[in-house]
Amino acid sequence: MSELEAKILERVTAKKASMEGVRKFFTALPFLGPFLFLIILFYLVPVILTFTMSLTSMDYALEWNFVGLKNFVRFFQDSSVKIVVLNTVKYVVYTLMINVGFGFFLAVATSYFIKNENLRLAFQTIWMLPRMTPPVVYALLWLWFLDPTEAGTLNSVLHKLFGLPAQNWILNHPMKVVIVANGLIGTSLAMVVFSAAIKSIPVDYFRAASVDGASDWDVVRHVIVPFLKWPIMFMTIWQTLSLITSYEYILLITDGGPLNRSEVLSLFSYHKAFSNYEFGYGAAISTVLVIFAVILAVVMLKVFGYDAIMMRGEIDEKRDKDHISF
Amino acid sequence: MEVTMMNVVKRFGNFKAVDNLSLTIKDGEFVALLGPSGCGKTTTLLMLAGIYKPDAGEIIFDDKIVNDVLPKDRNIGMCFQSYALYPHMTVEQNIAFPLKLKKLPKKVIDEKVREIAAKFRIEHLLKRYPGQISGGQQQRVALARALIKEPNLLLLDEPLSNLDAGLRISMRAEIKKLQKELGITTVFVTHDQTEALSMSDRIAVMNKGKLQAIGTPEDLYMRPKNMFIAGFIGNPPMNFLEVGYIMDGDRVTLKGKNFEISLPEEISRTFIKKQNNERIVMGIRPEHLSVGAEAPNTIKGEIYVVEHLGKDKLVDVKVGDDRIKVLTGQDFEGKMGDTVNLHLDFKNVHLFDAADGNSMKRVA
Repeated sequence: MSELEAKILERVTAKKASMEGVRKFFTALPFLGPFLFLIILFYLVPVILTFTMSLTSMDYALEWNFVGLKNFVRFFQDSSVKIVVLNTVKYVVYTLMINVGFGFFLAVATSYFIKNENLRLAFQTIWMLPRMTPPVVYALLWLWFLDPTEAGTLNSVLHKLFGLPAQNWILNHPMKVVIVANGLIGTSLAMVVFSAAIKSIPVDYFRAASVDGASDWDVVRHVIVPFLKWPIMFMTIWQTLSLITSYEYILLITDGGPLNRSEVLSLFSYHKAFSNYEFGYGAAISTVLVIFAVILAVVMLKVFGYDAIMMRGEIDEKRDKDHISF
Repeated sequence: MEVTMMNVVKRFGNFKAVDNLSLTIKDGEFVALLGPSGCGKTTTLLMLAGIYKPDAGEIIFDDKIVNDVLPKDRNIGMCFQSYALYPHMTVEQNIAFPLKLKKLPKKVIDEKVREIAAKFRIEHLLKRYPGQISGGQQQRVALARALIKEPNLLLLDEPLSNLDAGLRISMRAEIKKLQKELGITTVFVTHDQTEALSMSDRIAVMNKGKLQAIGTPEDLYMRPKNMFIAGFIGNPPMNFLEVGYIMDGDRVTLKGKNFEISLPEEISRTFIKKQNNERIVMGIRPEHLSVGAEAPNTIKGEIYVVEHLGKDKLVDVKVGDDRIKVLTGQDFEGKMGDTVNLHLDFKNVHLFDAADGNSMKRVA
């Protein structure tokens, strides 16, 4: 076959494939339809509205006065933005480390090291509890725990154990408090996902590794981690995106304070829109956040080798036939 | 390495998977653990590997009790039914894995991997992933990984059951030859008696967690100790017929519902004696029966069905309520409904106690 013929053939097959694709789409529409509708209504429309709003100087009067890119210019000149962005990066990176890292540790501890099924379940349930608590209650528990007076739980424990004086934890370490509070609640999700993934690794791999001479640490490194590549990637991306846009625990525990010290971008946008009634500016901040999140997600998928994971396992049939020797 | 299991017991909850198993495997011997599924053979293998710990009894490698030795410290190689090749490692990394865990220098590892890859004819596959090679190739990679650290004991768990029929026959010969070349003590788990008979030096037959018998393939086939072994070893399986025992001088006569067979004196003497009229079981293999002319001391029956097996025919003969399978030559021309006379090869008649199923053969 000449090169030209091959090219023509390729074109024709590509066209056929695309026709096929259109037909398949219409067949699938009744099934996808309801969800497509919901996604458009609750995801796409808000994004478009936010973007449109970001081009206005909308305030408490709720008037659509278009001002072009003025809000974006203001954003990049705003002196507090630098602190807020830095806070956001710190918050996302450290919380993520606790979420995914500690979640992985818990999953390995409960699914690999604890062989007793009931004990495993008991531990996992304890770690799930904060998940089932309403955010307001969870935040309130932290406020009590970190109460600045001597009666505060942490203060009284530290005083009894080490004789340390009482201190105002939220005032002195706002970022750390926010990170730990958010990190601990996030671990349970990663723990459940990773535990399920560890349980689904065929037992022969663990046996083969231990016969091959692997210690528990080797098993974790050479068997569990590689098999969990996809769940780890999924959790990392998922948690990153949800952390970038979430602010409810920060709002409830520190409200971004003191003096912007724990203010993150999403909370900043909320404050601008709902405390200062600068809806236009708030929307602009949100838009920047969405664009940033999309770019980050794409980059992360590339870095983790999403395509490679999805494609692997296909047998190279043609070459294989040539090499079967016995 | 010599492997001894002494009164080994393994329970899972209330279920006794392995019940009081005692077994000695000589240095360099190839032993097959054969039995139907759920008979405890894989559990036994996993105890040898150290993955399961016996609840009672001792496992001894040479002179050392290894009950509490971890799998990683036992220096064994194991090949799994699923091969268990790590999908995220290339063939080369898979084979090198046991040496990498031993922290050998990279140069030594590379050299050994090349050496063993050449032996298994997989050099051209080293850079590929397990998902990109065929089943037979995966099998060889798994064997290479099991053998690269020069283990003292090789454990094979149904290594051939995922291969197609042709490949299975060639791998059978390949593994047997390799085992003899390396002289490595090998335990092989299978439910396929052809594999066990063709490959191993001795076969340990297990059923319901208990060791039924251990012996050479010839032993188990020619002198089965009980009805389980007799029925399990051999394909097509042995025919069993319930008969009455009658002793007349030195001659034993077996009285069935529709036939009467007198065994020659020299054959009769090889069996232990029973009370007259006691119920016993006569066993005879399809290959030790033949179809012939009407004569005394034969069994008369009617052909129920004839199966073509390629090189011979398997004839199902109805005798009263019993069915007897007979292996005949390809030239046999009987049809369904024909009356036939079955001649017995008296040397290969087996008698079993009807109560406990044990063979009545005198121990020589």
